[in-house]
Amino acid sequence: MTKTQLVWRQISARPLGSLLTIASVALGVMLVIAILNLRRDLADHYDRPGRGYSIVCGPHGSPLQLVLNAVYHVDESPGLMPYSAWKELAANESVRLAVPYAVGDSFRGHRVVATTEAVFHPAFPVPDSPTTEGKFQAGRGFVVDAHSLEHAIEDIKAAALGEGSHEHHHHENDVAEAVLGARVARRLRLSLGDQIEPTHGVEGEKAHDHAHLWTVVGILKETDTPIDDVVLINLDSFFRIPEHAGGLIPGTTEVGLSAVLVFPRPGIHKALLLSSLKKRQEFSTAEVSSEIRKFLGIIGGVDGAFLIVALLVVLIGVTSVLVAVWNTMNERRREIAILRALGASRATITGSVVAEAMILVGLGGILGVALAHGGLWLAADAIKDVAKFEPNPLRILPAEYAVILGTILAGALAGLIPAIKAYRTDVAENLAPVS
Amino acid sequence: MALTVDQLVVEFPAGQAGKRRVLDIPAATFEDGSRLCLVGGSGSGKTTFLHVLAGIIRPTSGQVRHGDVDLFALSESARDRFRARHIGYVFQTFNLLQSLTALENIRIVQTLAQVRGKEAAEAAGRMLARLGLSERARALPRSLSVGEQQRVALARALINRPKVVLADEPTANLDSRLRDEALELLMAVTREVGSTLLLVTHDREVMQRFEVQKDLAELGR
Ligand SMILES: Nc1ncnc2c1ncn2[C@@H]1O[C@H](COP(=O)(O)OP(=O)(O)OP(=O)(O)O)[C@@H](O)[C@H]1O
Ligand SMILES: [Mg+2]
Repeated sequence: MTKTQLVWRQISARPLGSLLTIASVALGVMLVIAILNLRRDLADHYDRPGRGYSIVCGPHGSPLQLVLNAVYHVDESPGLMPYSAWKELAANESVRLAVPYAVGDSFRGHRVVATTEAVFHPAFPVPDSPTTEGKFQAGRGFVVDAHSLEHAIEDIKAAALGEGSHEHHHHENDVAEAVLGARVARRLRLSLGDQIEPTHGVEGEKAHDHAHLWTVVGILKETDTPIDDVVLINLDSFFRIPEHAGGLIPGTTEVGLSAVLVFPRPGIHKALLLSSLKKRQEFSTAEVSSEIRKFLGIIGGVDGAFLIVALLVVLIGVTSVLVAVWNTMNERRREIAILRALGASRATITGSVVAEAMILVGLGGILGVALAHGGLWLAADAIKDVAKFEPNPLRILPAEYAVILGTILAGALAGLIPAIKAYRTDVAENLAPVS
Repeated sequence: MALTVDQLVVEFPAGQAGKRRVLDIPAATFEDGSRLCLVGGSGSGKTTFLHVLAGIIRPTSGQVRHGDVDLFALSESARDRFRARHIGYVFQTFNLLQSLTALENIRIVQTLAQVRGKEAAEAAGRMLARLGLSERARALPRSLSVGEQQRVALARALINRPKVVLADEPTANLDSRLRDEALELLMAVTREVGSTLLLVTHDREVMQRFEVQKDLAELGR
């Protein structure tokens, strides 16, 4: 019979009351832990993949949408920007690397991005590697042949002016090659040499086939970022698809691109570029990190409010422990007096009351953590559907230990109040026989 | 190593700023292993006296010595520890801890006296067996009969082999059969342990079992 067992007996002597107080603490802790985890998952989902990107140029519209579309590959592309702008950006002396994106196709649920070998340049953040070869788990990247690209562009323009037929002047260097993100390759069980056939537009609606085949020439290393879910194809092959509505900026004869990802040279160049690009009329410019910060700031403000509510629920739970333990003090005066008469010190009595509150609150805390992670595990699919990011229910955040510790500490404080009452219990008075 | 009392005065507040002297004992000595039956009218201060001897109430003035230990010169926590180790107390109303089993009621006083380990567990088992309670070890007090409760209370008071056993009307709630049984046990076990026994009673039958009976009012005079 240890003192801990004695405390445990006090708790189990009132099973319903103890369970209710444990549950009320658990509820609050569960909310806090769930919110902390979701906000972390959200930050992971948007913050980490955005690292290394710098500037995105694209069509007019919200800069956030531009970033979400070009970096996270979510949402429809908001439109087109002039192809010529890419050429200009690539030639700008402040620019280290300019990566054009043309989107609009998909392959079995995965976005197809038409681009150039610039996407495999070591300066491109994903997959992170100091060499181009290091970015591949198998095969190689594609290289856009300048002549093929020029021809394809000219053909589109000519067709738009009604000059040419849909017939293409096939060039001897024309190739159609694809590089797969790691998850695409794994999910679709594709390997080097396989032929794939992307479709135009969103899948599901009656998409007409291009009747073109792309050969898989490379598979990227896994990065745990959105690029893993993307199929990259060479830009000229994209423009050679005659049906491509995406080829021209509507109402013009200008060939369009979905976005250009710009990586400036180090130093002052980023600031210089930003200030000059922001003045441009033909396209708009977004700074990736500030858009992500703003985006997470909005969400952070909302979940900060939820977090405060959840912490209040914890506080209410801890208070309910205080009240529950306090309410038992009257009926326990006699037991306390008996224990004192048997030789228990005031410190033992006081400590046992504090320990009781701490155990109740601690059990609530542990239950809350378990419920939060169990809940996240159960809700993972639903959250992914709604919020587009996947919670990680098996990870325990360092903050969770802090929450548990803080809660138990609050429990100790809550226990202190009835403990003072226990401390003051008069022994002789409470030993008197009750008639 | 006798239990001695010197110039003991206990006053309780009474009326407006008034005081009532409940105890006034110039001197008294209880030799080791002695047995005394204390009698006295209701309200004469018998319970108060036992409380003082156990260190539960601090006297207004005077000394209580257990051997060479001056009880009220000790710090409160040292006095609590002393009580846990050396004093067994039997209450009129048993005062078992209701959330603990019979065995646990005994084990808890071992814990408080810092008697631990396998030997302690065995001693508790032997004590229960000695009092015929082995079968009821896991029962909660409310499911015990009155006689069983009283035996658990006795076991609890005696398990640490205390130097002094203070019993405050231990048989008042018992019928004559249970009273005799309890008394016999109390006498037998205190003799085995060699404890000094101070027992308070109103019951003539109980008084007759003691060689020495004293009225509290005459104590030390
Ligand atoms: N805490 C207290 N405050 C004030 N008066 C008290 C207190 N405790 C006891 N008394 C008074 O002191 C007197 C002695 O009480 P005590 O309980 O010692 O008597 P007793 O001899 O045990 O009586 P009984 O035979 O009825 O048990 C009583 O008049 C009682 O009312
Ligand atoms: Mg009395």
